[in-house]
Amino acid sequence: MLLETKGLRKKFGDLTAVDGVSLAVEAGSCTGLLGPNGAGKTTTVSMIAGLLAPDSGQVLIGGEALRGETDPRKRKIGLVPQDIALYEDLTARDNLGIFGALYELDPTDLDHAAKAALELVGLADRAADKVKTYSGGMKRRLNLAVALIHDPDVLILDEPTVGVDPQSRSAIFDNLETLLARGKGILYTTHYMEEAERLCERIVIVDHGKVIADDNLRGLEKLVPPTRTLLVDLDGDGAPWLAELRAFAGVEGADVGDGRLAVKLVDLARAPAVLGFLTDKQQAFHHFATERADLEAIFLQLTGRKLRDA
Amino acid sequence: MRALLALIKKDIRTFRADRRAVIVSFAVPAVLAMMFGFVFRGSGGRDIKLHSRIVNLDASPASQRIVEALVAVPLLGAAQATQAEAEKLVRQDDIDLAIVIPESFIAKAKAASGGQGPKPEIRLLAPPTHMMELRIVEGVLGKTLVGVLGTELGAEYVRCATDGVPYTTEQASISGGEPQYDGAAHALAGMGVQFILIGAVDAAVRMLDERQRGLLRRVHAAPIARSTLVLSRLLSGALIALVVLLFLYAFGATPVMNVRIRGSQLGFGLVAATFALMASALGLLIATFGKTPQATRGVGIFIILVATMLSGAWFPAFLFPGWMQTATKFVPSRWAVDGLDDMTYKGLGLESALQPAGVLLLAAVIFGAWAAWRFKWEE
Repeated sequence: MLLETKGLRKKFGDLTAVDGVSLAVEAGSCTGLLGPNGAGKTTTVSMIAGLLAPDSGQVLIGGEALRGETDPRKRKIGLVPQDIALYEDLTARDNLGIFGALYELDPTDLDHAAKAALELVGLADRAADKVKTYSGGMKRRLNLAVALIHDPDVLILDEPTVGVDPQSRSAIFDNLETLLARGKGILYTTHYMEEAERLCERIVIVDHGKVIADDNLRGLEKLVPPTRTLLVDLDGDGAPWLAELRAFAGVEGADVGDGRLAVKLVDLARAPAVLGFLTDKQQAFHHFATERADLEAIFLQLTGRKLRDA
Repeated sequence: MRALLALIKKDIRTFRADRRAVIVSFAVPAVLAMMFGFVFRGSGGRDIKLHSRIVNLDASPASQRIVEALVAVPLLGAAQATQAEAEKLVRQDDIDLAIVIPESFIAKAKAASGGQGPKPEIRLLAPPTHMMELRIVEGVLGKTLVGVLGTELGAEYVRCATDGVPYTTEQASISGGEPQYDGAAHALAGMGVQFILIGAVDAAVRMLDERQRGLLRRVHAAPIARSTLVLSRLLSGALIALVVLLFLYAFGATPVMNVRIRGSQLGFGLVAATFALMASALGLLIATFGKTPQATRGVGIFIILVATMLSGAWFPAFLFPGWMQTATKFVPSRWAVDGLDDMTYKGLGLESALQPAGVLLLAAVIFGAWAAWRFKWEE
């Protein structure tokens, strides 16, 4: 296990920001850390990155406990902060040089590491340009490269794609998938459910400082009631039988849009009967499925729909 | 050590990359020092109470009336003294000036008013740093003498008054060999101190900006001790301040200002280095109290302007009232201005630099320790 937390707890005055959070990141895998605003994600990340001392609990890096701000085990962690934390008046190479030196890299190693990091994020040809001349997406990619300069085992990414255009987001995902393929571990906090679905094998959902779910996507799906909606992709246009279907036994509602029929059933066991109804009406179709709960639905189911402004 | 050096290099690079900061630090104080130097070189005055002595070498009753009239002028803060006493006090810089009425002054003035002899000369003696006050005193002396000499000479005085007064004055500085006050040298010290302190506020603002933009959070993610970051800030700030100060004195040495280090060069270096360290520590301390960069800039500049005014950076401290001259010795930058003055136009030796350097170093240690204690990686 590259990274593990055991019962992390942190209080600020009377507020318990993190209450016994345990999670793990394995080599070559991504763990998603999800939660509404104020759920305790940033405090958790801060404790894992060694920025904040927990009141109790442990952060284990490679099985060894992280202790104090100068603990050399911090070299095994690379933090990609939510902010674009770069010296904008300096060049990309200067930025990498500064942060690399903080990890005591010697000049030769630093030079190689800087080249490798810039190549990975596709900024090698802009290495000598000042960061302030970069687009938002390029800055985000350099933000990632800086976290890689000391070749950490685990990357902690705190919402790394906020405000990024689709091309840059895709490029960042490609970079992260490359890193996963190289055996790095990733802890990924995000508000974008599709990002977590794409990258993370394991997803930890926190709310009010506590872990309320920790599983892979399949496991999380089981936490919410199955939907009772049958989806059928129809051949041809028109649905003259729609009114009749709405009155069909076991059907609560039905709608057609963009060639897809969505039928809400009283019970999923009525699905074969609905397919039989369509066959009887000589309506051809090429695909059918029951609707699957996506991560967003699971998240909302677990954390509620109430707005969190904290 | 590599991390410490990297942080120092980073601070210097970010400073160099900020054109506004470079211009404010180097060019603006040089230009202002030049302007202040032109204004104050050989001119000036004040409207405050002086401390003076009157020496009466004329035994006549009329000259004694002049003494009494001068003693009655509140501005002069005068008392009668012998010539030896008065000169000693002036040499020791214990009084602002002495007025010496020559022998047979009244008789010679009468003769001069009748066109029968040269005008007698009243000598005004002052330490080199108080020569500007003599301009004021000349005016006060003229008004006072009008009353006494008018009575004594009657119509003759009225006649000669149209042709000038029946006496002359001579200004002279006496001291233990110190050169005369040099407004340009003082302006250079004053503007240097002021703009290095402003630079310290800028450094504080840069640090808060780095914190606001998450850069300190990123630095903290590395295995770096809080003390390493604080020390790097202290040293980089001091290094930048020292370079600015040396640049200013290099500029001052050009014919434009013609300011020389007439005293100990080592002493100058000592005062400059300890002041640079103190300014950097003060900037760091300001940063630890600041919440946002914008608010800190405003409050910081206000504090610095008050401190520089009290340090005698704008106007020489010897123009301050006595109580203020004492009170401002608790302002560290006052020691910087005085120390730089001592090593430049006053031409004093290394031993004279030790006290200001010691005070500045003590202030740097206090400010630095306080800042290190208060420093937080995140708000």
